[in-house]
Amino acid sequence: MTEIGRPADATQTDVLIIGAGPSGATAARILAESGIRVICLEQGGWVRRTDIPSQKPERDVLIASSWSPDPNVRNNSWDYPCDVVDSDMHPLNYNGVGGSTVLWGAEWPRFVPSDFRVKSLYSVADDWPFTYEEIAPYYDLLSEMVGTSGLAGDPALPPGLEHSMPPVPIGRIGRKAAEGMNKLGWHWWPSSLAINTKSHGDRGACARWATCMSGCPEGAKSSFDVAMWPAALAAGATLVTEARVREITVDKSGLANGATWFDVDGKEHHTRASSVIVCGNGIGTPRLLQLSTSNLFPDGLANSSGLVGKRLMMHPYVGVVGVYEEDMESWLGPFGSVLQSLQFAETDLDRGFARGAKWCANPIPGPMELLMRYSDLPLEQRTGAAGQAIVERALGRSFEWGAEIEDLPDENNTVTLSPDMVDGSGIPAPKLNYRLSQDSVRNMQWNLERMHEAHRAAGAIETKEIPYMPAIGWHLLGTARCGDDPATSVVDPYGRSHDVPNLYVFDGSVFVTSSSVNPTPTIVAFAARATEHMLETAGDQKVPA
Amino acid sequence: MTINDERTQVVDDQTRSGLAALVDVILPGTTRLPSGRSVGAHESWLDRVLDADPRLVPAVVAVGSAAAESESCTLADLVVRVGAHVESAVFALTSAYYIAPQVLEALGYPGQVRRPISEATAEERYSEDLLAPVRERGAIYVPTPDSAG
Repeated sequence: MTEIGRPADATQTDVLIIGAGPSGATAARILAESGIRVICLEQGGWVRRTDIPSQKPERDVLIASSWSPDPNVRNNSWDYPCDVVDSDMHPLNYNGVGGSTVLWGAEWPRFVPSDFRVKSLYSVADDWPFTYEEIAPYYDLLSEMVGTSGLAGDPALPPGLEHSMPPVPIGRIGRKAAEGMNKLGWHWWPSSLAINTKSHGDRGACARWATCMSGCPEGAKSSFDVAMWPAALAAGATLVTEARVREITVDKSGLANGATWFDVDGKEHHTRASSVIVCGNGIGTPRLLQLSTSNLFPDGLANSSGLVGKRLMMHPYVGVVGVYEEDMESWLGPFGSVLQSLQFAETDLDRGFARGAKWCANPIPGPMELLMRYSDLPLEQRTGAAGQAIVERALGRSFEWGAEIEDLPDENNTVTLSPDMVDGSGIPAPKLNYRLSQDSVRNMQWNLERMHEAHRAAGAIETKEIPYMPAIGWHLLGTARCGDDPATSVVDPYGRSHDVPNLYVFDGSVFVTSSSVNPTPTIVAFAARATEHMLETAGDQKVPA
Repeated sequence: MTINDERTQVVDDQTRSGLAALVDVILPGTTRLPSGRSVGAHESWLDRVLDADPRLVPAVVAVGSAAAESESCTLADLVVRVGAHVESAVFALTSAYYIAPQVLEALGYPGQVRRPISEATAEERYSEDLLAPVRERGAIYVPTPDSAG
């Protein structure tokens, strides 16, 4: 365990934040910069740039084991297992300072306006309790705080979106992908990314390693351990690492009054706080709320709606690799993506499903990642002369179109407490029950067909579907949804629990619908808006005696 | 952070000879690429792979031992004898092979290296000519409706 930041009485603070991922980091910085005493408890630790596998020849082996995004494969001491026996998709995450952004590809897209109004527009799911226009200033704020690169003027979004840095090179794969999209008359745009394209301080500019998802050797990727936590600590926040929270505690009046947690030696601690913000994301947050039962809250904390842990959304993902005649050095990054397309993000009910998908054009970093994309072939077809022929034919000459599917909220898709599995501290693990809906399956199949089409339009000599499922659950959303009505939501539009007025949730759990785009920009925009509101209403905040 | 692994087994000479026979099957070489045996995919490169992920050791040892005992090393036979371990052993040996510098050189692949974006050519950057058709089509988003449902 390490404690970094302003030396603080670890037993008492104004605001206790649980989870040092992007939403927790954002809240910590804004609060600390406003003079609020903040302690953040994070069950993982810091990742040093020298530890990441990205520059090691054994990288492919490491990302399939101790650096896997799948916590059930990674199985490090900072992790908790996930019971996925009854889940069509397996969650991916990282438990450490910066959260899953340590391993993310740094894609930085905004929701489209219709994402917030799917019920009004199409009688699908529910509307969010605010509009694109109401959250847009916070998208702007976080782009400025984090540092993003991209190109203004994307016609798939309202005007006004600016980036502080120019876009990354699209590479020859991007040019090839764009030529195909232009032939078809389909939208594409240089990717919006939380990746530096100019050096800043001790963080370099992108050097196209394509190893973004195992950490950036340049520090160019704006994972929140490097992009937000330094400022939060400089402002006076305290961060306690390797601190595993067991439950949020409440007083006799039903107000949150802190959390009980274990340090790395298994010693139990309790930190008292006037307010508690939960930032454990779509699995960690409902798990903790369900662990925090009491006489006052026998069904879990903040769960009078019965919706804590329900409506899990995970963005099914499908991909098609295209192989081309020419050498495109398609191992060059970033990865993330070089191009994004929102051609099919909006609803067209004639397609046979409710919403849509966001596409991304990705490099393929090396031989082993290429062979992974052929792993569904029989062993004899991907080993021996056949296997070596795949690499000879496709390395440097192939890229991937990927489609992120907007899955719809379903109360039968849940995160509960596993009856069989516990973490290293004996705390019940989360259990996922998640089934792909027929709507999602139709959406996936339709987009697969279009991606084959896009590759062929660009001149691909071979196209192949990539067997990603089930381990593709990067985006964990919806399990403590926000809304105006306490009967149908867990928190209000500013993340405040309807049941416990000094308890907040700021992470992806609050999502009402999933959109088809990567959620981090919306998560942290929500967190910033909610934190600002928390400060504005501090005078009326109910706190424990 | 503690990574929950321990390398508890050693690849002995007989097991390694079995792995060499398997390498002959899965990485025979082509007119362009060297064979796995010639670059020592079953030797020091494999050891690096096993150091990176000791959890692969039991599978590699099981498959290597089975291959050493077999008169004819085929993948089908090995799958029958040691099941899912074959996939893990193939992964380990193939990973080892694609670490070998001779293989990367034959592929013309530099590995994970720096290529600063400042060195990107014009062909590698977006251009307004390329984007023009997208801009010309105009807005494609659905705006926020005037009232909530």
